Amino acid sequence: MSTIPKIVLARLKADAAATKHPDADVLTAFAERALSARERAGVIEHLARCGDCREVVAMALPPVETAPVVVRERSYSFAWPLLRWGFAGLGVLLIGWFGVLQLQRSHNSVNVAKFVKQRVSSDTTTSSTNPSPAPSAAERGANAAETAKTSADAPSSRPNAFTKLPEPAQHAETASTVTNHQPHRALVGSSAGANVSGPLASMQQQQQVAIPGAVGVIAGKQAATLEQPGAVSETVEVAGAAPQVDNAENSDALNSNAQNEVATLRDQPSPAKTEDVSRAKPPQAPTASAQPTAGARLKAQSAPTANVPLNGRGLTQTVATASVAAPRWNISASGSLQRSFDQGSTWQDVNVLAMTLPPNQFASSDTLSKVAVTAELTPSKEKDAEKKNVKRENSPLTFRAVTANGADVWAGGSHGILYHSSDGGNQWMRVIPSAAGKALTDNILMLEFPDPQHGRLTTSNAEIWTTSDSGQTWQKQ
Amino acid sequence: MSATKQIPAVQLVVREISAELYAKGGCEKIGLSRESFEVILCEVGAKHAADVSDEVQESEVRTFFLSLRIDELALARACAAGDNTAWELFLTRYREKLYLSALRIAREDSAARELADTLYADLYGTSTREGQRVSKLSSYTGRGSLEGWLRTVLAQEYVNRYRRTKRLVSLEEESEEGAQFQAPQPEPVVPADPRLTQATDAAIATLSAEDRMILSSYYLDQRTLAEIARMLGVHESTISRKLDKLAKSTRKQILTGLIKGGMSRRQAEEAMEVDVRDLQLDIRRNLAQDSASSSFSKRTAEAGIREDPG
Repeated sequence: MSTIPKIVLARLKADAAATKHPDADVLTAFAERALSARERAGVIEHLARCGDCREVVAMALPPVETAPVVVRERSYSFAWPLLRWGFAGLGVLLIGWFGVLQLQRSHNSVNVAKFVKQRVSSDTTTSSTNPSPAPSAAERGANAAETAKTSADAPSSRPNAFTKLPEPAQHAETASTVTNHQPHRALVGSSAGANVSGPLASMQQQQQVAIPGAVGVIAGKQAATLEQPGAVSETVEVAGAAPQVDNAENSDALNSNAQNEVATLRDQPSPAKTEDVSRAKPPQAPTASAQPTAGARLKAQSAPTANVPLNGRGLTQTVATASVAAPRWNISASGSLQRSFDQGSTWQDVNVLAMTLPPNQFASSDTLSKVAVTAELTPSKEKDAEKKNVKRENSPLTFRAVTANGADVWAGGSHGILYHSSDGGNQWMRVIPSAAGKALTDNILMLEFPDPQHGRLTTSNAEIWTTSDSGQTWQKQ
Repeated sequence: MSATKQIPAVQLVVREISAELYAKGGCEKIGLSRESFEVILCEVGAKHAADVSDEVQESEVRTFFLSLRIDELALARACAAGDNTAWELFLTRYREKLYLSALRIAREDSAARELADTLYADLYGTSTREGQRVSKLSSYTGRGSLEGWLRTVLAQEYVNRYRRTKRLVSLEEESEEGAQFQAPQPEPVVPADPRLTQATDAAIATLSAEDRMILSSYYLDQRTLAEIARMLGVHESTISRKLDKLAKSTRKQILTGLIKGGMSRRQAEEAMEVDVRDLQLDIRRNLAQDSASSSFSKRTAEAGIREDPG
């Protein structure tokens, strides 16, 4: 700024006139610009000369009204920091969100697996990990069983359908003192192996004959509506009882419930042909008496990669795991069919003839395919009887080959005998392969069923017969 | 007030609009009767007319009355009349503001308290005239806000007080400042060239009052641009530009005046520069006459005189 000659200031100072000071009133009005132009001019004229009044006016100025200015400056100065922080915060949020998404994605597969397991558990009315759902599960199973029971109209088929059911009391007793195999078989059978662990691992050496209990129970329910004979109702009953047993240690009350259910159902079916179970070597554990029951043939696929369609949920793993509990099969030196539930430690003969369904009967139950069964627990007391029952009676059958694929068992032998069981060997059906009007009469030396539908057998005449429809029709090559 | 002069136009207007203003001012609540209110209005109007000119038009008076802060005027006058409700209201509204204003002016707490207390005494009316307590509030006419008026009054009080106390400088302060050992004043240099003074006065005379006020405020009072801007209600940059322009134009005008007075340009410039240096002393002497820079002996003598009556 240009300097002003001092002479000017000096003259300005000298110009100070001793005019009458304006009133405080007027000075205030001047500062507040409330004066008329004329008055204002007068006041300014005075102020130009009077240092005192200038000072008064300056001092009497209202406090700095910075509000509007400050606000504006703030709006500018705050805008950028605010934006910057806003962007930074937004970035952090985005990253966090993305991270959470990734985490969820990685957990998703686990969750899906868990979810499926849970669904399966609830579907099969079983909970091996949670005791609480057990009562309802048991009840549901029982209800289904009762429905089936009331609708059962073919009691005559029952003797053929099932082996003896366990005594309720013993049933529970066994449940409370279960060994590893039985509860887990129940578990596997009902919960489709969702929680298979530990002890089951030891069973993985078993022949992989699956007992997809989940399918069994579902099918059991279907059976009820389809008026399946008592066999199915009992299956369901067992399915209901199984989880009960599994949780027996947790709840005695549940046991008694299950016992009651079983008891009520026990009245219904006539005693099964316990004698028909072929004799076996004394089982070391109650596990040997566990009997998988089944209502119908299960179309299980081959071995660990078995792909049983189950509600379309792709429970391949589950079923495959379930197959761990399947029995092993063997042909004794004398040509009898044997099975073992304990990885081959003990073997019991299977009297196929005694357990063979009449073709028509079997066919009817065949329509209810995919009905599987949970493990049935047989108390140790029963084992003796069973052993006694398991005897070779009218068994001219000589088996030479057996193949099992889960619960789907094929056994063939001399003179073209071929039996098929889809429930792990509890019920059998004679299959007479015929091609071009000629039935197979040669000895069957080899059986191969890579999956339930497709199979081939080799005869002593070096003929190879194949089927692609579970043995309904055969082609000779 | 004594200055009350019966002006027909004012009385006419007062009679006309007093009812409206009476209601607007809420005078009833603070114990102001209609009659006294009208008297006040007349007084205010007459004072204004006297300030402006004796020949006031009715419309002008009307506009003036309507521009007044009637409610604050009523409150101030009710306080002056000693109404308790009015005082209560006044203290509620202005006590804190008054103190804050005093603090802003005095910039120190105790001084601010003292200043505010002095003003309170004046407002309440300690001085009496003809047996009547005279409150300073009775001089408020409602032209500006009561709050602004209070600030102005405070500032006036402060300036007066500052003037008084500034003259009372202790001996110690003097010696600290080195005044006692001050070198004798050098002989005043040759007084300014009368031609220069003349040219300067001529240049200043051409300036508007506002320009002179700005120059004085900035160069003599050392006010900041912001303060001047607020005093005049304009923007700071306006003042800055104006000052720059004034400095240039004034210098140019003085030069022109000097040259016109018979000086060569160079002479004129030299005269201005030389005299500026010399004038610094001159200014100081001028200032000394007004305020504190009188000689030591003179001041001590003054102090002695003041102490004697005390």
